[in-house]
Amino acid sequence: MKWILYGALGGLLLLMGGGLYAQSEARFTISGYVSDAETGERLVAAKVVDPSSQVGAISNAYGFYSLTLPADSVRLVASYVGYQPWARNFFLEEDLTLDIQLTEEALELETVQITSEELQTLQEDANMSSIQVPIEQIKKLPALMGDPDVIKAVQLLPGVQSGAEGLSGLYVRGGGPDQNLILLDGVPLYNVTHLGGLFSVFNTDALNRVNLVKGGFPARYGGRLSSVLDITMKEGNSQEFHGSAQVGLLAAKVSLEGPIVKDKTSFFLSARRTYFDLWASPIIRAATEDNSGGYFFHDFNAKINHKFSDKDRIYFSFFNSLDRFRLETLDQFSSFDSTTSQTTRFEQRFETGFGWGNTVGALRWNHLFSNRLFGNFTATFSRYDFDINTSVEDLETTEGAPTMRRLVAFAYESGIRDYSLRTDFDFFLNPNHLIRFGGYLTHHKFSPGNTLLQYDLPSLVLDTSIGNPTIFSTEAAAYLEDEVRVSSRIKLNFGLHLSGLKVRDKFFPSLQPRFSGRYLLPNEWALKASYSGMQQYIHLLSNSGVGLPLDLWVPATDRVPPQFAHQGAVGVARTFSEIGVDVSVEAYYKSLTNVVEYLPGASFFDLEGDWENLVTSGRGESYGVEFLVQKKTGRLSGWVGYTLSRSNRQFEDLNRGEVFPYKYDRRHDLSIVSSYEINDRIDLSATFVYGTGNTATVPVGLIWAQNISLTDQFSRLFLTNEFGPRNGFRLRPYHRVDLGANFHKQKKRVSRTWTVSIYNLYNRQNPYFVYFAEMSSGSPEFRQVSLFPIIPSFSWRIEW
Amino acid sequence: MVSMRNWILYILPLAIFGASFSSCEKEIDVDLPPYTPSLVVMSRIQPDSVFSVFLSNSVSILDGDEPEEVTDATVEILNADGQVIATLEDEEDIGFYRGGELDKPRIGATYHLRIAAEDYPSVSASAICPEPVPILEVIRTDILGVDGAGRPTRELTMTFQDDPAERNYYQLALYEADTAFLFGDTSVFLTRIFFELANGNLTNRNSYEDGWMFTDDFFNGNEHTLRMEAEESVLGDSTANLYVFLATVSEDYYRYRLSAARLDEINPFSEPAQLHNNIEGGVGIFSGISVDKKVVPD
Repeated sequence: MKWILYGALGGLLLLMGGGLYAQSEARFTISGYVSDAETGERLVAAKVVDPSSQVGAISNAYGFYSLTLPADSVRLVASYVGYQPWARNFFLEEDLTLDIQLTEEALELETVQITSEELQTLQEDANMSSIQVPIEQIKKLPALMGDPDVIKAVQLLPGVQSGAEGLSGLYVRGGGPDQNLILLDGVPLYNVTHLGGLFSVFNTDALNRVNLVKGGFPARYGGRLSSVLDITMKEGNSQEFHGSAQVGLLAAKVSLEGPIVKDKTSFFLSARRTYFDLWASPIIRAATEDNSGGYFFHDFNAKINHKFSDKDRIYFSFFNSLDRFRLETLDQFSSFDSTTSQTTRFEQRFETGFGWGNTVGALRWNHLFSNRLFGNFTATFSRYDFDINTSVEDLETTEGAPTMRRLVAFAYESGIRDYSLRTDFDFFLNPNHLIRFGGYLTHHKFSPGNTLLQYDLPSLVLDTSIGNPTIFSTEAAAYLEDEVRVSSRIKLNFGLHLSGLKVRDKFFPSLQPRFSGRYLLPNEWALKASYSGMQQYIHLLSNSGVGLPLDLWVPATDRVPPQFAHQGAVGVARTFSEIGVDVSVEAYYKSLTNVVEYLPGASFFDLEGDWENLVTSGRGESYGVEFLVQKKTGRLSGWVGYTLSRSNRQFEDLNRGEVFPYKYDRRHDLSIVSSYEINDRIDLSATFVYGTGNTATVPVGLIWAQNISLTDQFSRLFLTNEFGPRNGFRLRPYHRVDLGANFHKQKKRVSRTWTVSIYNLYNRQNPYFVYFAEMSSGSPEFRQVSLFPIIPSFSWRIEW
Repeated sequence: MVSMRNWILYILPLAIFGASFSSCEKEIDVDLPPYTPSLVVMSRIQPDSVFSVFLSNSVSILDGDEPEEVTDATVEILNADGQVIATLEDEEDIGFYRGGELDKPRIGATYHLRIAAEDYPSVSASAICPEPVPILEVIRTDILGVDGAGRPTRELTMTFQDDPAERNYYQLALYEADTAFLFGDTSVFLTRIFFELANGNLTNRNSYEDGWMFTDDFFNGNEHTLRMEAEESVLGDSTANLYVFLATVSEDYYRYRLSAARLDEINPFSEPAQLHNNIEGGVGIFSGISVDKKVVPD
């Protein structure tokens, strides 16, 4: 490990020295922000370049760029996918602040051509295994119940598996659902599902950008093994007020944005809520008189930003989501005692419910220390809670006076709280070096499962809690990263991520080297390679493996140590600028250590012991090849992705110590995603997905086993299943076609859109799970449960 | 009477929504590999008991039949040199094979099990009777507490010396003994006492209906004291005949015992548990344990 560290630091210093040496002639810096001309939203990863010298810069996560050039005549070109290129000629003789506003490209202007030097292309980028999906493209895709979903769209990318049908789990390159760092405005979210995973918490109307990193992780990222899904919320239109409202079968949503002080302060608000409970409650009540119940979810996004000066800007973003189910029943009857002439009334009230939700907040300050040093300081808060509760209350009253009351109540709750401080710096040393450095400190509070019992009985009064104690931990990290343009053909991004976790007086340090680079081949293809070591200080104890709220988040401890992954990848990539198509092929290998699974038969509901006694640590590996052809703009857009992969696990305590396929090991995974804009009024979309069937552990035989006691008196036989190898059974392949169409109409003040979509066009009964059942006829059989048949849906939307 | 307005407002969307999320079930053909019934062996050996084996068969899950005991097998115990030292007999034709009183296992000795039965592949397994770990001390303490249901509790401590040479596996149980006459014989009846293991620094500790199982990962080679917490009405009764059982068990026994306990439970949330198996050519367990017992003093 030491040689990697010394090598990396030595290389960094040498390259920095080279960069400084190259600055002997008079040079000046052009810096500023790249933004959308219409909304004022900052544009991330826009390219600003001097084509003659081929020296350029990429705007950072806040749209800031900095470019240092020799004193001379300059032609500066700025470009961004989906926007018209911008160009200006001038003579550079002093440092210059230049904010650039780009205008969205209309379809009829599609013929505007820019060269690959002027566009941020795949071959230009030293990083690999990173995919950006335009939000507008996601909105056009056909969606379950007519509501487009970011996570569902990401699941269609190569290297990403969806788990079970319809659910929002992410399994990236053979990793688990806990190994994805899902960031909303830089704040980690722990459960991104609504309705048990059928929908994600992300409202596409509130989002600005979605970027998935599957490997070759830059040093600024850390804390998860398999992916970073970086989602940013809209900042709000700083020029004029706009809004949208949508009504669909499942939910309604509304968004508002606009300037509070033009060009200085803007806001964005968006809310979504289901109304299933509003329909169901009156029907349940009408049908059953005294019963009520229902289910709903909502989410709420808010963001406000204020520009204090050209150098200082603050953002505050807030997000809240909640899912809640409840059911209440009331049984009552009366009896009349003729001897006492008294009427006694009996009531039994049963209440049950469960819910989960996230709340996150982030306060961010951008400060420009100089025209080459950009700083970002963030304080964040993240909370996730889950609870189940059930109570039965019996009440007896005689002639209106209470004579007896019995109450038995049970509640189970778990959760996690994070408080974090983070700082990031982008130092544009010179056109050949972009140095990023920073760090973060996070305080975690884990509540991994607490059961509350309340008895109010004539024989027992009890109000107590049992379960796992709260665990506190502190995670800290620092990173240093340099993006180096060594020559016109070689570009590197390398760095170090140093992190540590302190929990229960134990400290886990970790040094994680990161590297990615590209070599430009003569035919404009780029040959790329990357390596990253990633440490993860958090585990998800999952019985379902689908990110259900029953899953428990727990910290690494001395008994359940942190997870670590080595990942290497090689590939080729090229953007065909003339047709706007990205093509990439990547092969990867990933090894995982200290991944966690429940012991056989254990679950979150084992109350008698610590969770650390219910889990076992093991190792895993995954490898595969991914192909992606993606077109982001134009009338026809979409992508074709294919993955050939294998993912295995090995635990001493599972499957008799033998290697077994990961639950979501999938040999073939194909996605074809397309949308076509016929004209301004109609666009069509279609998706086709095919995947090898998921794995399952199924019973193969029946045996008599013995529950052996230390004394023969208590030993006894019981009939049980003999299970086959873990995950040794394959469900049937998964495939389906979805269609969608949007019909737009521009009215006087608003634009209206009807969306019609059909999910699972040919009504494929895709397997959700299989189980073994003995039928009433006495003949045993396996049965398959499918979730979604063909589902037509529609929605109506206006924008103003 | 449902009005047209209510129909449009409530029933229609609800029907669409409900239909969307209704599950569809169908019977499927499962390509399971051809199933070969095998012998299922249940055998625990310990120094103070005769060799015994319960033998049954396994059946395919799709047959719809229950497995049955196997009564016509040849069950042999061999020593470390491969010599047959005992042939077990199923005198009652119930699949329960026993050895003679003179053939009891010895501590530290290795034994091989060999079984042949018509229609089934032959099976074999090996086991060692581990050295017992003596209980050094049992103390009924004055420490009182309250359990999760609000009942008063008392602690009992048990001290033993762990063997540093190897990873050890233990089973700890607590019983109350009662003497009674049954069919003219004096028999000792035991009642299980459920207790909490209060030590928080044990790894791999697992409770089930017959005490706790744990490893020595966190105290390897040291003298160690365990704190048992049970109801005051039991531990506080100085007239009760309480026994602490500390069993030294093999890794196979430990893994089998835990997997069997989990299979015996019904937990819809848990992943399927595979029964730990150390039988070559078959299914089940052949393993040794050694038990030390101590009476709880007044």
